[in-house]
Amino acid sequence: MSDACSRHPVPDPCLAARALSARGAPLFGLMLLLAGGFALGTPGFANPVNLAAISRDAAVIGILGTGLTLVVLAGGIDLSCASVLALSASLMAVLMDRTGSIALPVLACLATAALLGTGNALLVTRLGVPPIVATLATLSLYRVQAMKMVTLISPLPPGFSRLGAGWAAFAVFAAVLTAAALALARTPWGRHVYAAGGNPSALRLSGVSVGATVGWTYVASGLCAGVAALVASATLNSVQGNMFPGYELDAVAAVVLGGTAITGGRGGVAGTALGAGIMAVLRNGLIVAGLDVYWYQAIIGMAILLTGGLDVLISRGRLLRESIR
Amino acid sequence: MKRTAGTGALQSAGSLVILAVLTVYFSATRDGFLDAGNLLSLARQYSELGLVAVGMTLVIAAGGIDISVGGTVGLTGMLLGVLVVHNGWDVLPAAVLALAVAGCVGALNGAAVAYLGMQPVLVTLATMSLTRGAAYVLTGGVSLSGYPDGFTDFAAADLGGTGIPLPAAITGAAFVAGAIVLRRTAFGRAVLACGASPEAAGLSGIRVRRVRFATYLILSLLGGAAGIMLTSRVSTSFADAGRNYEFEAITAVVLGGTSLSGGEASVLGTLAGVCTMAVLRNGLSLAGESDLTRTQMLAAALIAAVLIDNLRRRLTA
Repeated sequence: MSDACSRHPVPDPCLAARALSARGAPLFGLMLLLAGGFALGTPGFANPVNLAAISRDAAVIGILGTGLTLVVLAGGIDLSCASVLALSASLMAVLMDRTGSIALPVLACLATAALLGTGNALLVTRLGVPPIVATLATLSLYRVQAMKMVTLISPLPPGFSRLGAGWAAFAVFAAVLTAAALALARTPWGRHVYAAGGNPSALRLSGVSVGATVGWTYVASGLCAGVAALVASATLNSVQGNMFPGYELDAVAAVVLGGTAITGGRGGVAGTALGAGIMAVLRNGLIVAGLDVYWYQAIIGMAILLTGGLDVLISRGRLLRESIR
Repeated sequence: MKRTAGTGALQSAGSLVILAVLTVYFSATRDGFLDAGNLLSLARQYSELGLVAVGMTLVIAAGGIDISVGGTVGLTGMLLGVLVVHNGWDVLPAAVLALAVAGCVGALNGAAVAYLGMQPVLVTLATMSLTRGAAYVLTGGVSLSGYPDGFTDFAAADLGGTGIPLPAAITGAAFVAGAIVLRRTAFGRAVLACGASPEAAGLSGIRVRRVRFATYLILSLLGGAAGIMLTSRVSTSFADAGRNYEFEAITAVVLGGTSLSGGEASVLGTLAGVCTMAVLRNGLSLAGESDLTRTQMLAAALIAAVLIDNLRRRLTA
């Protein structure tokens, strides 16, 4: 027990900030390096239209990743986020198609997404299903439901698709990111999230419900996926049941690249934002460079594996240095 | 390690009851379900999943999980296609090389989890993406067919004219071997000990890392064999082969009473789990349900299996 405490202390914000800045500079460098390489190598990459397209893709990955970061910090994982996106977007599109209004379907989209997140939360915290199994199952359940509901609905009402023009999506991403960062740093719930992942027994002993803390992270992840659904469907000006397939892996890669420990308790949303930027640059650059899209899937796997492995080696080195000292 | 005779009986009883209820229900309501031809063709179709499920039982018993095995199935089959169909290799050396690549994936998973100490979920999520991506990259997503008859006859063959499909016989042998290994050998006891309590296992002299590594290696090799068997059965290599196998295998393992937290496992329970999956899917398809609905039922079955397992644990605690 004392061993577990010393290895996973509840982090004070300063420590988290330092860890992040140590990670932030190399990450930012990597992103610039990648972007620079693509800009030099492929003529279509660096024009403003393409950069705006990258910003929109980064927004979708980043918003999903922000929600996922909360879940991972609390010691869980949510593989259903891209399916929540598709299902809540599908419901919204059907409502827009039937009623022609915007406000109501948008609210319904967010509410649905939060509800689907609540489903995950109940499975994990109330019914004791391991997070990976629960969200692997809902990944498939939600996605299939979306595919049954909508094949393709296009176009969406003109007032709505304005959200997808230019850098608007990126602004939404910035807002979500700020809200999550503030919630983590400035609210008791944020501190509980870190503790739930880092040292749940200490959290329980201090009288906080671990289940409730963890459960709300899944609801938050669902809500983020709902916001991502708005941005994604506005960007495409259409909704498909199988839109953004596999983006849960982009989100996982963004979180891991961003330095959040997959075991929970350490990390933050700022790193995830940089990770999302890197994934979006990679995805877009490979396509603009004319490389087979299938390469991206292999590269994503490689990126997760290398970063995860590097993290373990770095933390081992730190433990070794501390034990010598 | 925690198991006693009582919980063991209850453990396999649960999955057998579900299997019996489903079988009775479908044979009463669907014509042609209990037909010998239908059952034998089911056994042929589910041999690949069975092989994977045997390996998955070992991995989960040792306290791990592997969601990359579906990708390994796809990669092995695609590699076989590229070597045999594109490059004119003989099937045997091509199959050996494809199996070796599957083994490399398993070694990568095992090394990252056991020796580097990375999280199984993260590692195998990454290798899932890696292997599936590689399977697509090999031909740009194009399926390959045109295998020599000798190879495609293999999956269609019967065991010495008894009517039992050869693939099903192989998978049956794998189940028996798996059950014996888990119950009756030092390695099997070491696997269960690692899952129950790695610290205690380490203190009692078990090489925890080596055992964990071995379970991932075995699963990937079985996944590779499943990829070859699947390619032979459908006489085509396609990049999407084995999609959802990890999903179905985990469901079968949990249905069979193996604990997701490790340390408690039954290979024969997994066999009952695989049969349940086969009966469920076939029954739904005879009932005219769409492929999408069947996929959803599968996901629901996975959750239901975990819930039943949790309930059983609470009752026996």
